[in-house]
Amino acid sequence: MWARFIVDVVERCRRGAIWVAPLLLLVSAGVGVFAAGRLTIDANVANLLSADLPWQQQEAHYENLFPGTVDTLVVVVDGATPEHAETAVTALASRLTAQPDLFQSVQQPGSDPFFRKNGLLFLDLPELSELSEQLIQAQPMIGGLAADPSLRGLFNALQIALLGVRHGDIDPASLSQAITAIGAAINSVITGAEHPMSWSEILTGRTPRPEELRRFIVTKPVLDFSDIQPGARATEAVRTAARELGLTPEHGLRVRITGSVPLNDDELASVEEGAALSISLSVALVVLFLFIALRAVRLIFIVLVTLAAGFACTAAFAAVAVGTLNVISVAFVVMFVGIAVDFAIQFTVRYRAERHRAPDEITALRVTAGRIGAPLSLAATTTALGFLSFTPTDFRGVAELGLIAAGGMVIAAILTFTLLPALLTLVKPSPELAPVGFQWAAPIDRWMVKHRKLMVAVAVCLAAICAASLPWVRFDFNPLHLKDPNRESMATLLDLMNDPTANPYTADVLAPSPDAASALAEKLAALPQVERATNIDSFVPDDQDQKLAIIADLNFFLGPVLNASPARPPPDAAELRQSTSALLEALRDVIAKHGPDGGRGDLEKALAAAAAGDDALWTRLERALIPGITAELAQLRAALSAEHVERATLPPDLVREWVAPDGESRIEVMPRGDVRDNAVLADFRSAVLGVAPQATGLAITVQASADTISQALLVAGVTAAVTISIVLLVALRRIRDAFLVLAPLVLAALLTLATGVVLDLPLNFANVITLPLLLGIGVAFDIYFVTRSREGLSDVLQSAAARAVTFSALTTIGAFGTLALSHHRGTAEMGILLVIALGYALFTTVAFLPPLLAFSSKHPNSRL
Amino acid sequence: MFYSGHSMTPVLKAARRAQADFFQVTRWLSPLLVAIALFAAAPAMSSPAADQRTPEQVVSNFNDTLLRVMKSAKQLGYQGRYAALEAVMNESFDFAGMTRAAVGPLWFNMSADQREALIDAFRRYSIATYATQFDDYSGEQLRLTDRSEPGQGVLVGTVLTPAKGDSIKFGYLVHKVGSAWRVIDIYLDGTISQLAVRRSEFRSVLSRSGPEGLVQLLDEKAKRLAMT
Repeated sequence: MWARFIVDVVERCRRGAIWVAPLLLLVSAGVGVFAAGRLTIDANVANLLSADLPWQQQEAHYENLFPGTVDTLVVVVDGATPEHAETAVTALASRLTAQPDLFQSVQQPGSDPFFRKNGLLFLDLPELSELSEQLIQAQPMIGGLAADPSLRGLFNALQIALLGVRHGDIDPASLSQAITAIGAAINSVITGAEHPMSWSEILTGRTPRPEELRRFIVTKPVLDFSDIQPGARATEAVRTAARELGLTPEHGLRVRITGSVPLNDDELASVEEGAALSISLSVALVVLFLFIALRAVRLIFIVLVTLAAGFACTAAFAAVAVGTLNVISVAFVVMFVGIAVDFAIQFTVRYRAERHRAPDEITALRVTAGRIGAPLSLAATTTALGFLSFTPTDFRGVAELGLIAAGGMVIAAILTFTLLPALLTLVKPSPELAPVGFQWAAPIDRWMVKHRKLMVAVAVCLAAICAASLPWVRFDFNPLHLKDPNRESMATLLDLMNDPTANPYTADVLAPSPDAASALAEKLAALPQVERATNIDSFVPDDQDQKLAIIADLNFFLGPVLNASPARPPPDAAELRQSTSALLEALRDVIAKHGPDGGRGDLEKALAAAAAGDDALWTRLERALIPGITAELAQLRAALSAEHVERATLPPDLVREWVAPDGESRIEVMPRGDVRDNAVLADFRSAVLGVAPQATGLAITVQASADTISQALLVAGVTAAVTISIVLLVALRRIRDAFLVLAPLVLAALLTLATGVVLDLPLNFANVITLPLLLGIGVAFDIYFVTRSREGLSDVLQSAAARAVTFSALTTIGAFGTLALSHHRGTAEMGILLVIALGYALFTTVAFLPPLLAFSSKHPNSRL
Repeated sequence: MFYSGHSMTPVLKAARRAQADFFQVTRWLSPLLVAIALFAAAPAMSSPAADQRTPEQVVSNFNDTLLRVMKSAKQLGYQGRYAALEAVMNESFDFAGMTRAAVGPLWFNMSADQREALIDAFRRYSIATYATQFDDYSGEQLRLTDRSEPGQGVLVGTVLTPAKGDSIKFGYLVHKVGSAWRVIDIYLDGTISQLAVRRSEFRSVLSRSGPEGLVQLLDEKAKRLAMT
């Protein structure tokens, strides 16, 4: 009945081809233009999952209270010395602040005067005490530099130290670090480079910790969602500013950009990057397989025109149905090409086969429509149902893709029955002289029918083995694992994950008040999975009385010299030459006694060269060495003015970062262990949620979204299986046939999952799309075979259907497989898995469906 | 780090070696010598109103006594110099405070007896040092210059003008002990805290052999000085 309807439609389109084809093409072009103007792209990955989910709402509530922590662009500045990093980050931050059109806010964590003043209180007691002793040891140097912050003061202080060495009071090795650093700095100025040196290192003798060499700027960029990379302008502004300020590796500085905004931008850029190659290769493969399948340029032309028209109509449907594409539904482009081409191939290959047998084109077309109409409609229906199965889930990104793709299937089917026959009539492909099926497959057909029991047994065994591997199927919920690890934003992030203070995988917990936050933080910090739970009270240092006593002690030694104003006027060139030659003399004495090691020889050479240089060199030396001293002394002066800190005396900006205006307070919980390990994160999440069910934050939300997605997959899988089964039952009216359609598909799915286990290709957010797609396409293949068999023929592999299925699969593999070349890891893995899945779908259909069909076939062979 | 845990005594010995050509040594060594010279004391001149003196009076009284002791060094001999210095230093210097600062945080772990023993050893050692080292006079003049209040007390600047050569700056950090002003630290060249240098030295001894070890070491040093 349906078949007759299709035949009727095709017949009418054939007769009216002269106006049907142009009209449909015109309409397609029209709606295509409409779609191009209407469709927008929302690159915000946060919108991929339903905003109504409880954890999404918790996150939204949290973001509402503490807006500074989302959609950030983080600049990571690594300096060769702490002073370099600090100076660079301050200069860069003020540049960015001056561009409010690009940055809503610019913050320098830890650069508040509060930390400058009270920084020492945040050191551990033993650490502070050690630092204090070291600074007291350096008092002579600090005193000399404070009284005379000039090259003269520096050289004089060094000379005193060297006199101490000469008289055996000072271990020459204790000076090596300073002498080496100063020698290198002078030498670099002479040679024109700027070698950075750390005064704090020279004064405290302590190698700076990695986090002291690293500073951050946290910005909230103004995002432009009409751009595929919404933060691109802000990122570019940071790079420009860094370049203009000379914050480059030659100056001992490294400026890197990360944060959620650049990560998303880079992700989309990497998707785009491999795209050109992937698309051209994809088109080439599609054309190649089409050519092998159809053997006629005219037919290929017809198929491609039908595809283009269908694509335009689907885009228009997308514009009306969803309006805005998300980063997943953008993939409908590939999806459509892959599946719509299948319909066109099935129809045209069948047409070729009938054309070979039939006396004329009209008969051929009518027979084709009669034979292929029903199975193709059924395939379109089941594929559409496969895609629509995501609609009831919270996985909005895929649900929208499913809706568009389902619409696309219907559109593709309609065009296959209207535009395609009309074009076939108008273009008039040449008659087929040879049969269209695979003639060479006849012996295989016979063999398979003969050994059908063996084949079925093999299939069952394979299924059992694969099913046994299912417990090892992994779902990698970590979206960061999908990103290109060589991209700057991702490489920087991976680097930061090594740094326990900068790791982005935190849980954020809200408590009704600062006191409640404090109590809850204590409970959370007690968990073995928790490294640290920070809240507003974390900024009130412990052991303040003892620490302030140590600082007072330190101040006793340093205060009198630091607080005195420089006693001498800046030196002139003559004075500098004089103190240089005095230092040189002392240095040569020491070298005569202790040798040129420990940087002494180098310093001697550098000083001799400086003494021989012109007066302009002194100015350059002053500029290279002295600002660092002045800054370090100022920092020391500020740090010695530390005062007792209480929650009430914390700076308001800092308080706002941790306490909302309504009193709600946040706790930032850091996981213990390697956060790149999903098991660590999973354990951390359940531990934190056990104490604080309201927790949000990246460590929680990535896993919550993974749960949402797994659940969506389950719902979609069950929905698809049930609805497709019902449709198959209704359409085929035989349970056995419905089973025959689904069985190879189940085997293909099992094989795909098992291969994923063997190749360690875990399922992830990107490649899970493979499963519904496999269902949709695989079902279509099996339907063609099963219906072919219902025609009473057991020559399945020799049939035009086999040819159509093979090339349809190859075309789709060609279209999707090139995704494997993408620079985006998720996309590439999706491509690989799609190739595997479709390969298996083709394999199971071709290898196992014929023997299965043979059991039920009425063909004489089956009774052998 | 420049003055790493090493004994100050060799510096004094170096100064002693250079004493023959006191004013010919580089001006960088002379602060050390002069610092030592400043601690040479005059005969007891203890004023009954010691507690009412200003910081400047404390310093200038000490300076005057010092010059006087230097001038009559030969007649007094070591024992005489020691006795004279002991009197003036006891009333001008806060030895307890100096010892505490030179010892650092470990002070708070010590018993009262240990502290007393350390203060006494430090006092004897300091006096012995000056009694040994300053036994000559070559026409030096001492003059007070400026005064500043850095927060830790009053820093009284002094300039030593030798008969020939560059003049040298000193700073006496004077602070209040009860109601009386006492010297707590001396800044060589106006910038180098003597106690900071001592602290480095004491720290390594204390970590090796505890308060008793430091007392013993200071006593041995004082004895050796007396015998030179």
